[in-house]
Amino acid sequence: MASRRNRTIDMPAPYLRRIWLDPSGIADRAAYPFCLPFLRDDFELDFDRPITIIVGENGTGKSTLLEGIAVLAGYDEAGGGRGYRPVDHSNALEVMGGQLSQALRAGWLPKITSGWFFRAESFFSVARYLDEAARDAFSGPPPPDFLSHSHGEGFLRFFQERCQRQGIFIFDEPESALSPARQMEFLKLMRRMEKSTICQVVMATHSPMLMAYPGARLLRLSKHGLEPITVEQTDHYKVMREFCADPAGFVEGVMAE
Amino acid sequence: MASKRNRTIDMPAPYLRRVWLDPSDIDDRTAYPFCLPFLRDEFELSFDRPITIIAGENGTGKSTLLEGIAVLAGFDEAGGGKGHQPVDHSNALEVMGGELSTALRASWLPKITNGWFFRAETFFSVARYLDAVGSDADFLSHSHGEGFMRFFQERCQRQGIFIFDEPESALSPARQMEFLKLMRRMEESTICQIVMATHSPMLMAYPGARLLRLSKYGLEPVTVEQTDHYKVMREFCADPVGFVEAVIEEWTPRRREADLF
Repeated sequence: MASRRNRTIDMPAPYLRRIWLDPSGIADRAAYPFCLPFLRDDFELDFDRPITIIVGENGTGKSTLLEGIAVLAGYDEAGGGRGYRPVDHSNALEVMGGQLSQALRAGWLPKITSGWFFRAESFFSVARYLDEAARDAFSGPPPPDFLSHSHGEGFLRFFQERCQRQGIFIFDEPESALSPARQMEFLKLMRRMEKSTICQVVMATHSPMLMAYPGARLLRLSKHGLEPITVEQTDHYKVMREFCADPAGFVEGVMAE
Repeated sequence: MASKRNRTIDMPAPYLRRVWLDPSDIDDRTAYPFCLPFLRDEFELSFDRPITIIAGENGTGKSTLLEGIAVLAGFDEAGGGKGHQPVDHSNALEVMGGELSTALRASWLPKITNGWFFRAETFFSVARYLDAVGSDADFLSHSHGEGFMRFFQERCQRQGIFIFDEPESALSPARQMEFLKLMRRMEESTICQIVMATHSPMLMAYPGARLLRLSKYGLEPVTVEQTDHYKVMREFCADPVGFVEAVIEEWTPRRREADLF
């Protein structure tokens, strides 16, 4: 807690400006994570805005990419901040993406090491914990307004506390733990982080609502690499729109396939 | 693995027909879980179809209710099947809902103890595991999703009661469509009962299910179009950018949350 550590660097986000693959750092092309199709020799990703959002189907390598970036930033690949160990993480299969960092190079302006890596699992635990805490707060007589605004505001406060200091914040599928109402709160949090000018966000999501954050750089990851995309062009949005137009017909159509 | 254990009971689902609260067994009305507003003295839930889906905001008690039902069915409140311990579960804060079962009564026709309790966390781990296993194959091929379906078909087409808590946590829209197909196969088998809590309008829209909304006032029948989750999604789809801008700039928490929660 020396003042030097807490000193804010007087430059706006994004701090991580670019990452790229250095093929000479790859031990085995045939092994995970380097076998992932998007990791071609010329792979690179520029961060030109404070908020970068990555979409793509399960299995394309979104989480692997975030884990690689997290390790470059000095976080544990399993989640947390610098020097933190994750709360609850024991699945060995899920912690290998950090190996990617061995062959990943980064350009920073300047290099910062503050921030947090939120994995879906830790997000889930936090959200559940906040639900429990809200409920325990009512362990007296049943309250008349059990689900009052204080509930959602507690969630927002928790993340504001952690996410408005200077840093790079990596979110992997935060929507896993967020109902639609909570996703709206999360959008507001993102706006506050952006307005602070000292937060960089790199997020992977399946949620069209989070993808639609205005002013973010939205990229689709596929086996062909990363490409710019609009929310309306994503499969996630198209599926949702089709569903909304005719829920019963859509679901019947899916099941009749 | 004696034949007696594996014998299929020749009756169709639903096997769990009704759960209700027995207020005489409540130790402390002011303590969790009995302080949950929906748990009034006359609380009951009838299962008249093979598939029952429960919607409702975070914190209303959906997970608590499922945990209580899971313990009645003989499962560990932390997830798994009869006699199974959950794969990875260490958060003590999350495992208290099973206490509800001490004051919950159930009628079965007949009593069965097969099945599985899938919590969101375990579902997540399984889905991630299947992604990892599939990840040196062909990434966007059908085989990837098919592996997911095979895994759950293997576990979910035997006779039993299957409790799913927010399965969508781990499912992209494409996977949710696969999950709908799995639900259909389970229903068509006639030997599977499903009790599911979800925030996903797509899963709520499963045809032929009994859809209920849990709020502090209790359980009430609802259509997917009536749920807040669907209304929000529909509004978003009509104008994604406009919707998000409005949420960020103009959202007054008190008014909006009064509508949503």
